[in-house]
Amino acid sequence: MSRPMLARLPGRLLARLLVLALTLLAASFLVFGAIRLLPGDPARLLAGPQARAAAVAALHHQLGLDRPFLRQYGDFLLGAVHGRLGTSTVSHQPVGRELAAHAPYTIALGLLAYLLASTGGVLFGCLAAINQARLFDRLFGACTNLLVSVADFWFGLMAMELFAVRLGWLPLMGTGSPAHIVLPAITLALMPAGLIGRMTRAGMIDVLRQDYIRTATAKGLAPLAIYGRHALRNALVPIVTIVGLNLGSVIGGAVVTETLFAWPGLGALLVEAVKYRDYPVIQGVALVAVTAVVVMNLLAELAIALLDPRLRQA
Amino acid sequence: MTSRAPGAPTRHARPARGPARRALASVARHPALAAGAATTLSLLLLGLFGPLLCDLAGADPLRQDLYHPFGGLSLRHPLGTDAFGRDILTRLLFGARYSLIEVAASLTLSCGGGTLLGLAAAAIGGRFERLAMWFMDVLFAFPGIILALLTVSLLGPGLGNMLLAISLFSLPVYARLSRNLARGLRHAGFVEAAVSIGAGPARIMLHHVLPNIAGPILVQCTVSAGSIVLSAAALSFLGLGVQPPMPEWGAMMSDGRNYVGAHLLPSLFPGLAITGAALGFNMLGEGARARLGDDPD
Repeated sequence: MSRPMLARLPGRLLARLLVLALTLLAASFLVFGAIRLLPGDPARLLAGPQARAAAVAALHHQLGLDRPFLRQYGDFLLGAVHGRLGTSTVSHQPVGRELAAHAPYTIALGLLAYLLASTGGVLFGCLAAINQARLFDRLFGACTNLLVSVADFWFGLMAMELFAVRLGWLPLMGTGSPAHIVLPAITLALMPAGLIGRMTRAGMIDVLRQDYIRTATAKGLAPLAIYGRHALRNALVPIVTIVGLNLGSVIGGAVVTETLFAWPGLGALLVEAVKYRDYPVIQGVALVAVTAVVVMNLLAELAIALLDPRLRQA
Repeated sequence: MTSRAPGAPTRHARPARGPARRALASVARHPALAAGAATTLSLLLLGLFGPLLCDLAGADPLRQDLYHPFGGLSLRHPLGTDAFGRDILTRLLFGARYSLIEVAASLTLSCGGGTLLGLAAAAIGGRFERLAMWFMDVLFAFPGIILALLTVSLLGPGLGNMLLAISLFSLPVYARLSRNLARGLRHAGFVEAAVSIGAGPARIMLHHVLPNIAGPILVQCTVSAGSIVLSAAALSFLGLGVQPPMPEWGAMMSDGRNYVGAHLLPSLFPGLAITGAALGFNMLGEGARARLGDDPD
């Protein structure tokens, strides 16, 4: 405790980085090993029951299945570190190139969706906490329940019907103009908006009960200063955690939205790959998804340490 | 966070006179819980008896009437007909049964397996506990639907494989929860008493600890039921779960999706059913959590 706060951060960070690397290693083993440790020949599994023996044998060799398992895994890891993730069995493109081509779309969609969800969730969550147990709060509760329960693909489909087909305000699907991102981003934002809203409300209610808020009120601070500077800043820690956790898994959330709107991101790539049993691509997207989750968790922790000086020593 | 013990009388509680009045008072105090319970109960009844009624009325979810596709709302077809002239209401009722099967099977696998693993970890402790929990962390690092797609890509699409996939990604939730709850009870009086009379770890965990941690685990089950309905429907919608022509709600939507812009009804109603079912489970779960007293409000 006597050491300066920030001096301990590097050691802790190093330990976290080590756990992060171990988790990624285990996840890569899981993704890589699952198909090879299952009974049966993966090449036969991927090629499908109708494939000819020669095609299966070619795939067998292409996937490197004729070498010892640990050797295969070692080569895979070495390649992965260098950005080589194998070749797609469908498009015959390097998986790394496929991922790089699709990733920007998911990143843009995810960032816009989370910008919408965080702004709306934090704003309305704060208002609900300030008006606790009043009509606004009740309505807010009903809305967040609805937001986390709505089937996103259904909402997206209905939004397409209304705004693209009937009203013609927005494009139906695909890419090409800034307007193309609007409907998918709103669809992807629904669930996180509900979660962030709930979290903000709960956190703010906790904070508003504290003595320092009463002090701030008693000394006559303007409501905006009380809620903005004193309350929200203290309520932010759980909000940042949940935004970080969910933003990391955005590839998961984007799977359905991207497929529905023909948005060429990683989620749509994954669904295509699963349909065609393109295992190198599946493997690549899964690894990127896990990496995103783990890295975002770490970033969220760092952000929290910056927001809350008490946690820097924990 | 209130410090009120679960089940302790609240300030507002007055001695209620009859069971009916007590139930009414409880509904007024927890409207979301009551609405969630009512929705879930209706889903249960519709799934159990709806298909039987359809059989009695001679309605078949798979019978096609290719001369009358995309029928509007009518007395004969209250919710219209789809692209193959099949009655949408009949298909929705049979679909409710699919949802119930999905929820029941996934919960049995994930909650059963996860809780057993968590209890075993708490009972055995040491290296096994650390390793098991770390493995759960690794599983947890996969976004749920990615893990499900990975599983389906290995095992192939279909109801059973989809259920396995969905169970796999909620396994860590139950393992962590039950392990943490069980560890919290390690020094409880009744556990130490059981240890002192020579009960083995399995007996202690299953007979003494499990009944005492069942409450929070059941609440978690209700909350996950909502996401199970949504994930299963999403996977079927993507064509990786239950396959058309079976009347699963997600599969119905993947059919209806092809006609959006021209015919709305075949995708409108299944989506409403999915959202309604998920909303019911979520409200029930959130309400139950608030009543258990571990919620801020």
